[in-house]
Amino acid sequence: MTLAGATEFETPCGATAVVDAGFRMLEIAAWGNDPGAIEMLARTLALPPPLHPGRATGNDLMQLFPAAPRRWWLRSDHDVTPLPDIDGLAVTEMSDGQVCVRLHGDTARDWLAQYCPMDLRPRSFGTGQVAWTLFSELRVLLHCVDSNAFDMYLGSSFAEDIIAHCLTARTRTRT
Amino acid sequence: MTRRRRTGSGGQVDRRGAISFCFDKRRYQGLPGDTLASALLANGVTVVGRSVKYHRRRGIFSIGSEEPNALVRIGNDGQPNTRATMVPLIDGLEAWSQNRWPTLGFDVFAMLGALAPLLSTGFYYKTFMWPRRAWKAYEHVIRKVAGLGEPPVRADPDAYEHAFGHCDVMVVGCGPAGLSAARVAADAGADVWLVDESPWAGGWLNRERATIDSRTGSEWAAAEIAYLESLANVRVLLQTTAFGYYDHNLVALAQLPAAGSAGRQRLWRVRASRVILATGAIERPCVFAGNDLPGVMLAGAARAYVNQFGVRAGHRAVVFTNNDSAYRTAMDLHDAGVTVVAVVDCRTAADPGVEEEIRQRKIPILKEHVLVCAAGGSRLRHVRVRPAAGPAGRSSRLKCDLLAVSAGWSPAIHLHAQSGGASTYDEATASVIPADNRQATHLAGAVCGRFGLAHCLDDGARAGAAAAAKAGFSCQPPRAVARSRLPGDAGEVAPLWAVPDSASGTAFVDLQNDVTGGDVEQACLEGYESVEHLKRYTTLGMGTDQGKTSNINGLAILAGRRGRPIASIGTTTFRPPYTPVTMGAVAGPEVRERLEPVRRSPLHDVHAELAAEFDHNGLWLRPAYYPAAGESMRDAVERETRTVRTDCGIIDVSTLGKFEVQGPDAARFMERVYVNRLTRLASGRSRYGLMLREDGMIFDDGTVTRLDESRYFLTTSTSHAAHVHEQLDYFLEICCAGMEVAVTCVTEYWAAIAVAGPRAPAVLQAVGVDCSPRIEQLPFMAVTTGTVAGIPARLLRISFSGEWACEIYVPARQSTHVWNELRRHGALPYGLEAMDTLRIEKGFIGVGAEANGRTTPIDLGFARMTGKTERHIGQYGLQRVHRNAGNRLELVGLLADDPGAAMNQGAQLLATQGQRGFGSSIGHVSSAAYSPTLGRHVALALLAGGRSRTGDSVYVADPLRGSKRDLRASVCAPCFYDPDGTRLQP
Repeated sequence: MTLAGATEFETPCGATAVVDAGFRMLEIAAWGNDPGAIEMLARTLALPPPLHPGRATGNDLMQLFPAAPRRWWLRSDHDVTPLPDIDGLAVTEMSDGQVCVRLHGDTARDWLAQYCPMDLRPRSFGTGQVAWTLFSELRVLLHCVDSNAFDMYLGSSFAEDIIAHCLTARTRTRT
Repeated sequence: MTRRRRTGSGGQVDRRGAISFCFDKRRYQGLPGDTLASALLANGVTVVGRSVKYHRRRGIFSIGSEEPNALVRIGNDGQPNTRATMVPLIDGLEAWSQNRWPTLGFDVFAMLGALAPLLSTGFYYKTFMWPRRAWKAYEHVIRKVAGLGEPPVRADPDAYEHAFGHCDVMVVGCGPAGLSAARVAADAGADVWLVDESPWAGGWLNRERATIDSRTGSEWAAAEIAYLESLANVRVLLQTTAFGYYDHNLVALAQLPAAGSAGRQRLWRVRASRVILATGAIERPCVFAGNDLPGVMLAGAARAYVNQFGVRAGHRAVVFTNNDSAYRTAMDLHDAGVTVVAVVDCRTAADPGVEEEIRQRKIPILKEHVLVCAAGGSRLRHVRVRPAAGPAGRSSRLKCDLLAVSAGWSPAIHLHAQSGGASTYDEATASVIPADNRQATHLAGAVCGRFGLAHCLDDGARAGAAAAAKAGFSCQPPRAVARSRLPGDAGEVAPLWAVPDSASGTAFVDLQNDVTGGDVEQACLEGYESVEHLKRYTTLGMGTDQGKTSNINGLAILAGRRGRPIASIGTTTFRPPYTPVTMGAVAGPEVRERLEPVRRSPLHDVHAELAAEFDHNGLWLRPAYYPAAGESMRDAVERETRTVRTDCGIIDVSTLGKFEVQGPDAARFMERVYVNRLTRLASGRSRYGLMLREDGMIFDDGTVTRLDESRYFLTTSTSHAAHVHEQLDYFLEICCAGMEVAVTCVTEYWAAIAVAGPRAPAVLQAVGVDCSPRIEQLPFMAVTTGTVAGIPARLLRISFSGEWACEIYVPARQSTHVWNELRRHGALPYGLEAMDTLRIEKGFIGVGAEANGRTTPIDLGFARMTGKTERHIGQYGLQRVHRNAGNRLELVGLLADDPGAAMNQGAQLLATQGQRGFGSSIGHVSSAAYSPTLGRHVALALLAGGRSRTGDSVYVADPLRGSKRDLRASVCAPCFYDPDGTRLQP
């Protein structure tokens, strides 16, 4: 499987999966409980508020996902100029280590729900929401892009395995 | 035969079709809509199995999942212990009886029945004690003679799935209460899941001649289900058993595929905001002599076979009861053409309405009578009855081939109890009913001890409304339903557990486990007075049915024996699963190659092109060695090892755990996490580091590199990386809370290639390394950044081979280019096996081998690292361990006297040759390899007081691998190659 660029295929449930590795990802960690540092960064990057736990924020250039308390992932599909050096924030390059699998289609949510223990019903996990969950046995960061589309971020080393056994396995039945 | 047993009309079977099936190789015909049990009854098959202990003939006893007798194997070498009552009939079905030899009709082991008086409860425990060594033989025979079905020999051909679900309201049970509840909750807008273990919705409405809204019960249920299935917010799962109710309203479901479909069994884990248990009640039998004969059946089951399947379970029936519901059996059997000889009722009076209905049919009612015994040879021929208050010896004989028994109804409180709910004994219904909920649970219908149809519908509507409201939905008042009252559905009983003076030897309490009333009494006499002890001593309530029809009778007999009220006796613990769940469903799809996820290095494809043999290391797939054409593993490993010692080798170490620690308090954090002193580590330098657990044992090892004042780069072992990540997070949040530091896992971002060997600097120069200082001048344990083959890289001068080496860290997706350039300039790849040989030659420890969770840094010769006084994780544990150290296992080297003799990892060390037995081992070989450099086998070992034994001889014993001769080896320092480290320098 080639991870450079996007690879698209049909899943057994009828949803479409697009595997994308061609984006930039930075982890931004803050120490202390002062939210000022990340808010300052968001303002600098012109990212719209609110910075809310469990909810992504973004603009045309980039998206900021809350990945854990005091920790965010900044995804960009374009070159991002070096981030401003803000006191209280640690920035770590993660780009080559992550793969994004986008599942979209009418059946995407139901099918994904089979693999994920978390509640994926729209009223619990709606557009813009982000959460760590398990997909099959893997820890993934799940982002609800819209009502029928989900982005799933996982470590590159797992990508081939998960695609071979879950996303393309023809033996999996529909609910 | 089918014509005689099958009624001319009625039931919900499709009489236009015909289904062919086999039971014990004999072919029969059934109808679409039959279960295996109903089809067998329709064909006049009365004996379907043999009992577990005495091999007595047993017939179909019930209609549902409580069936204790009709356990069959589906398919040749297929799934055993399948309840025939729960198997929808499909064309070509093959079923086999169990626990008989050679045939069901002639079972040699039936002779055990004659020995029954000798085989009383606890027989095995008392008899097979002597001689102790013979137990193995006894066990073999006992297991052969007794037991349920045999597990299949072949691999399970079925496929299984796991799935998750969430809903607002889960309704368990598709009877009138469940349907009513689901409709109200669904109409309120809640996400509703409705599950039932049966393939047909409606529960007991299918089995009775009730009417609701001027329709038959089954028609009403079908209409309700059709309505519910049409709603987008409702999911109906039939043939799905809610078998476990866990904390926080997690309900486990086992969903079977539709009969005859090629689907898969699916195990659901569903989290529901509210759960409505409408699980109904299970009819219970009565204990009297001969109550296990084929032809004795629960009254509700006999009624159901007529009403749902159009099958007469017998031609001449006697009904024995202590409640009104069995009167319906007499009516329905009579109306279906069965001769009902009599209704035997132990009470003085029944409901006047049902009595009148019986009299209209001219069926005799024997009030205040009890049944003394059922008798016959291979099946029921007659029963004997007598007045309840009369003398024990005088009884009259009633000829019959069907005895329908009902001693009341036991609410199916299993899931309620699993959820933590309390229960209490209810005198009015003589049953254990739910008392108190501990979770977000509602109960409706017969499970609460309210048995009438009206009660069930009302209860269901109330529970549905309450559940929906609690889940945040407002409800309309339930619509009015015109209901019919079923005759005799009030549920009051006159308690009758066991017929007094009945011959207790064949009066079975638990049909599945052959536990008699006499067994219960004897266990009580022997002091097993607690219900839990009684269960374990007699096996009452064990097995596939978990005592669904027997427990309450056993408790009542125990209570009677102890002279205490039943309420004070208690019940045994209800544990999941409610009914058996096949292990395949529990395991799910994650088996064999899917047992664990597999991680692949960014260089995986390159290794595959080089025909590497892969091995699992943690979750990673790593090259073990790269065999050339026709080369053996040993030859390949020796070649790769020699390459590193004499030329230049490269190995993919991308799998190492990698972390960045940043922040003003990074140095303090590192000082706390590692046993060795790291605050004095200069920027641009690396150090070998050990992480301890709180108990002072080594948790992991790796390198620590200080990138700048407030930034560190750590590497950890491959197999422990995930644990280290967890541990670092734990330290950060708990042990070092408040420190201004952040830890980020960068394992996936960095690919890493170790270049090692005397020619490595030359290869790197040829590839093009641009860094400062020049790579060949970079001191050992120093770090720099630059480019390698044009790719930005981080370069660490560290070595795990004992040769000059450098680890190159590059962004993962650019690693292939660097690897290929190194290969193009003469570097040869080596794998895990060669790496292991190199580190053993050098005496470097391995996590899992030497750092095995029971060794401290001092044990492994790192005492020098442990001198710091600053607080660190494991500090006190380490002090405690070594305060009273005694003769701890210490790391040593071993050289066998015979250089060609291999010492295997795990072999035991002995002080004296040939010594065996507990306590004779003084250590073990922790790592071993053939060293091509030294031309001999070498080993690292953990030896009691090892360092003080340097120069001594020990014996290496390896009996588990079939070695008959103990090898003599001398103890030496744990470094066999370049102990001064001169080869690490340029």
